[in-house]
Amino acid sequence: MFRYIVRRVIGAVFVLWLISLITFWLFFTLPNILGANPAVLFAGRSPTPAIVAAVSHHLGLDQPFWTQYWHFLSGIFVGRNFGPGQNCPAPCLGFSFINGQPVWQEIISDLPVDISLAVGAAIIWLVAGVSIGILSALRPRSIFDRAAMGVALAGVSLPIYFTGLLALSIFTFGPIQIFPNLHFVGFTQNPISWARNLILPWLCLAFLYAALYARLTRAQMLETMTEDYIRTARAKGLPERTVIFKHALRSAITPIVTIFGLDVGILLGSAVLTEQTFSLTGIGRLAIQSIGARDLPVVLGVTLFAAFFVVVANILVDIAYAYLDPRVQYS
Amino acid sequence: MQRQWLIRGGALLSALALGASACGGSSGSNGNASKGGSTGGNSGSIGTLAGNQAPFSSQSPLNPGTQAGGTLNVGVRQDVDYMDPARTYYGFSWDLHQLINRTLLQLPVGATFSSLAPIPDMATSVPTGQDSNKLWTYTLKSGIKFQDGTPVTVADVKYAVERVFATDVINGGPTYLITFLCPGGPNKSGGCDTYKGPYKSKSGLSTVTTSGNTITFHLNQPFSEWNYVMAEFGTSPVEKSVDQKASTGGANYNLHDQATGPYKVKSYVPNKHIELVRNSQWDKSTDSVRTALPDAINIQTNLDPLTLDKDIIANNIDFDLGGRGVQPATLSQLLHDPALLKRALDPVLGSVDYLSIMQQSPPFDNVDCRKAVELIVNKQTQLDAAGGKYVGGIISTMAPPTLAGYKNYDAYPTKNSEGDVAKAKAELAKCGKPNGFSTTIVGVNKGTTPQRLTFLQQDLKSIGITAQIKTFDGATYYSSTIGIPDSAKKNGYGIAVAGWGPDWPAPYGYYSAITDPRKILPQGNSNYGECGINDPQLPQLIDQALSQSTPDAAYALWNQFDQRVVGTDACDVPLDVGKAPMIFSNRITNVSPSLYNGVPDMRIMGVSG
Amino acid sequence: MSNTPEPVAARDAGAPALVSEAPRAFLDVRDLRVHFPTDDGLVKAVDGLSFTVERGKTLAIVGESGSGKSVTSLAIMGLHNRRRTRLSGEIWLDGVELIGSSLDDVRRMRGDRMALIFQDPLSALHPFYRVGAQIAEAYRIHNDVSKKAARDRAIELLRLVGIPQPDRRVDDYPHQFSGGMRQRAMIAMAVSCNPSLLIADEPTTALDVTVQAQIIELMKEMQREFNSAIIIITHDLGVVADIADDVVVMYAGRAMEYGSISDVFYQPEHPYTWGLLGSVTRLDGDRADRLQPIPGNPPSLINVPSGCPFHPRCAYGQLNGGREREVVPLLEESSPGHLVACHLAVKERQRIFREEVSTTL
Repeated sequence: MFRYIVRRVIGAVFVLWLISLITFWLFFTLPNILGANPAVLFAGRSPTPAIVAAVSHHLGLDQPFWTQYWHFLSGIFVGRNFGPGQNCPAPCLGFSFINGQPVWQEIISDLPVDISLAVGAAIIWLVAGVSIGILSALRPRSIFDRAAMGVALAGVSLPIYFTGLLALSIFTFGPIQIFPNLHFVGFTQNPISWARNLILPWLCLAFLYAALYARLTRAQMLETMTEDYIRTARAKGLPERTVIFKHALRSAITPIVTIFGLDVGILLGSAVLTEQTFSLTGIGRLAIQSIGARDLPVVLGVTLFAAFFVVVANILVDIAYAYLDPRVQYS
Repeated sequence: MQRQWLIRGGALLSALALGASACGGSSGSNGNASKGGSTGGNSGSIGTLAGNQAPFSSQSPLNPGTQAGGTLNVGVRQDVDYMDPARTYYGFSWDLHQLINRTLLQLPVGATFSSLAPIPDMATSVPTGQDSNKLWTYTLKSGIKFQDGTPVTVADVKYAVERVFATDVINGGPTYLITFLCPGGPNKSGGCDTYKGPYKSKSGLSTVTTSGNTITFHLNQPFSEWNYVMAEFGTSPVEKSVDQKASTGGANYNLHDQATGPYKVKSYVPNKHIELVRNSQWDKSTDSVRTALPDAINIQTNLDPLTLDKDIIANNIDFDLGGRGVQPATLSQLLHDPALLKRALDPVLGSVDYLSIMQQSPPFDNVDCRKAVELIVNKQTQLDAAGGKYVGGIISTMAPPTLAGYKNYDAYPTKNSEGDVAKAKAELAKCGKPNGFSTTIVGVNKGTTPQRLTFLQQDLKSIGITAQIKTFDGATYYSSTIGIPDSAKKNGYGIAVAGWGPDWPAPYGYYSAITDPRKILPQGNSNYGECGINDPQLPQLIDQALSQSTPDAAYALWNQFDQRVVGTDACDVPLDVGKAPMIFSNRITNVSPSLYNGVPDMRIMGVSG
Repeated sequence: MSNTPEPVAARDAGAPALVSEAPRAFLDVRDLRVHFPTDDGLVKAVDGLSFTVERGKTLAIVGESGSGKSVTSLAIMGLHNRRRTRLSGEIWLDGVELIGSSLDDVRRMRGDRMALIFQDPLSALHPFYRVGAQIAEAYRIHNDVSKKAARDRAIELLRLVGIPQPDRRVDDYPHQFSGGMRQRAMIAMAVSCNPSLLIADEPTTALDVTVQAQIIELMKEMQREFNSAIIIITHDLGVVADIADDVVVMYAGRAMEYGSISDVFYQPEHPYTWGLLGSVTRLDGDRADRLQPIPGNPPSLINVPSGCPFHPRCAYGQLNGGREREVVPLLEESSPGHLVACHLAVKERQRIFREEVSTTL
């Protein structure tokens, strides 16, 4: 198992490196294809060529691609020095072209939003989705089952910006103002306020995912309940509750856990629509803004973060699977 | 209406247009512009602030009040570019900086001004230029201090100016100081070879001299509008000791700006919020404009536009600092709610939307072909595309009506400004293309521009010109697509939809970048159509105007300039001047859209209750 | 088991169950019917089956797939979903009637008084739990003991069924056992509570031939150990010969022939039984002899053939002059302890067997 983990980690590092290289290349070569020095975008209004050259030099854009990339890569491990007073400690992802702020700090300061959003919503959708899925599976084609799956269909089909705007228009700006004036409050600042401001986005996001998980759990449970070992469990004289929760759910939950890990990993890096709808300043929004403004260092930083979360989630999920299913051997 | 944000890379900033007389321009669109308010010299009364168009409120300022205290809650859709005064170029950012960083001169507040010329801030008075507008001397008031208690001296002002020359570290802001103060003149690329800023050059900037509490600027060429440059933040004093320390200076000064205004920065979290609190070292007796009513100011950045509108209506936020106007959905809501209209304004901004005719792409190198375009454009449908009468007003001059010295004229009068097929065809015949020709028309790919292009395409078709439409991403449109003259020529772009607003409400600040052929740049060019490239009289008029000794004499020449650009050379087709419906909370006081960019002026704002 | 034929309209095959009569055996199944209502129609999986088993004895139930063997065993264990199954008849186990009992009562008896051994131990054991834990679980459900005690019991049982190093293997997962070992573990789990009835559903089908013999031996040993009654369901007549005392031959949900091993194997009187015996390979048979499969296909359990269910495939059916198509033959005593459900007269079928069939076996 240890060797397996090591191999996966090496693979992950390779993937991240490749992503960084491609992203860097895209933003480096593309403007040159257009025939414009990207420094023009950051040099103020009607910049003289001298200003453009100065900015270009300041941002390091006048250096060859591999030199720039090497500086970037090494900066991550040992930090970089951009000039007097502009020391960027490791891990250094550079400075924003737009406002000169260190990228690492900018992303880290936005990260609590995504973590709060993802973790809260994840707990809600996992509990809700799996419970409803189990109940549906135990009473297939009953009224509860049909109703639950119908609502689940709605949850899966309605985009977050629809449910989000609907929720906002009722509970924030509308007739039942129980959540007025939403803005993100850090958990360490005020846990109550933190939760109060996140309930709406949590619920809207959870609605979407819970629907998926309910359907998934239901399908998994239905399938598992037909397995031979369920019949054996009953044959042993186990009470039905034990059969369902200890024997059936234990098997059904395995693929659900793996998908859950991946979903959370992806959500951490890219809850863009949710952030946009609820005006949450997470890294998804940061990504959109910096892409629009061609702020290369920030784009690169956010991309790497998002990729990092997904890659780590992948590894964790695979390792978890080995523990959940003893038949799986990583040699 | 293309309400262009001031972004780097050659976009525009909006200036406030006024000129409508106090009796209210209820006719909206054509009314404001063709009534044309001020003619000639703006030393006379311009009339009150725009924002008085029914059904919006006509109070000026909106909701006057004297109550002090409270916290002003501000929202804006993006972050400021910089908190370093020398590097910021966004219009709304300048509005904010006025509260923190004082300058030698400042522009008057819209609600109370009588002239568009600058008024004193840190200087005791506004000088006139000596030595044919090459020598300008200012006297510093006493009693002005930095937030740490250090008194401000002229040396600090000089240091701030010197700092702007260190373009490898201090960049992003206006560079007029470099252009006019570089000893011996700037080099061909616009840089200064003789002085590199205080981090590199051992000796100071020789073109700025101080004596006692006076500071004198020795320009390398005549420039009648120098006082406007002195109202920009390059003259905000900077403490050398702070700026020379590695941890707080240079690029780090952005987070360690020392305030001289009534407020100082308590916290600045990029992309999130900015908190301002009172600067106890600010002495009200030295400041004739700022009222500093609120105790604190809280600015939330990067807000969703529609949510921001709703928050203002719900009184969670007091106003939108961006000054671009509400979302179309919100406008509908306002127009149907008389109670909301009482706290809404529709000021005229100083930005102009126009068509740049690219002379580098044949057959537009022929003036008669260009005149055909001037005569065929239907400005009514263009205004419709912009969003209608609450969002813009038709004009026929390149200058917005708020520019000092504005004079109205129409070089191509057509019925209702709808264009005239017969007249246009006559011009086509003159340029040798009686049956028309093919060209490409370009613009950004979102907002109202695509609709404008569609209408333009129809107009051109009516005289036989077949136009292909191409749209581009806003981030690089100005800097690359139409900002690289050779690229425009290579791709055959004939007409480009563009917008512009001045850095300050006087002619040079407006015309220079977009119509001076000597300002054509290989990249990030703002004279998109190479206006004046074949007309030596244009640059001559500019130089003449800059060396006039009285403003009125200068304005007369600028009027000629405008008429030459549009009427004689047909460089550009002016379409409409922008307006922005804005909503405010019910507790904000003293709202007055800023003179030169329409942003609600924070210098006199307060909150009640 | 009465001798008087009942009118067809009132009853189908099977002994008339006299409800008031006390059970006469340890396990007494009377007129068991298991019907499943489906969208396609009513599936009569078991349609009037009766037999008895004593402690210490083994009954084999044989037949083709779809004859109702497994359904019977599940019915005895009470593992059918009551909502989707129609059960009728009586199942008496040690004086308790199971069909009429509450679900909870039956559940308490499952694993404790009666246990089931399944065909495929790999799929019948939970893949995610250790074998020892699964055995301990079976034990703790019916016995209030500590986890440690249950684990010790599991080790003991593994040793009992002949698994080497049971204290190490108790913590292995099912997939770490070989096929034969798994089945032993399955048996260990089944006997953990000393059940008095052990039902084995095709316990050797998934195993190698060599392992089969070991498993059968193990089962005999368990029987001796716990004096349990065994019902073994199989289509393998070799296994039947090895372990069974009595045999029930099922077809289309009914018993065709029922009697002791010597009766059914050496004096079979039902054409279906003849067919089953004829399709078994024999080591001492002539190589040139062909296997004689029974012609035709198993019948639909929704539309069971009228009259004798076997008549479409029976070589001797037409000897009954049409009666085989209309009247259901009852299970009747041919000789003491030997029951046959066939329209052919006793003498007739004995003659047929003697003269025609036995030579080919």
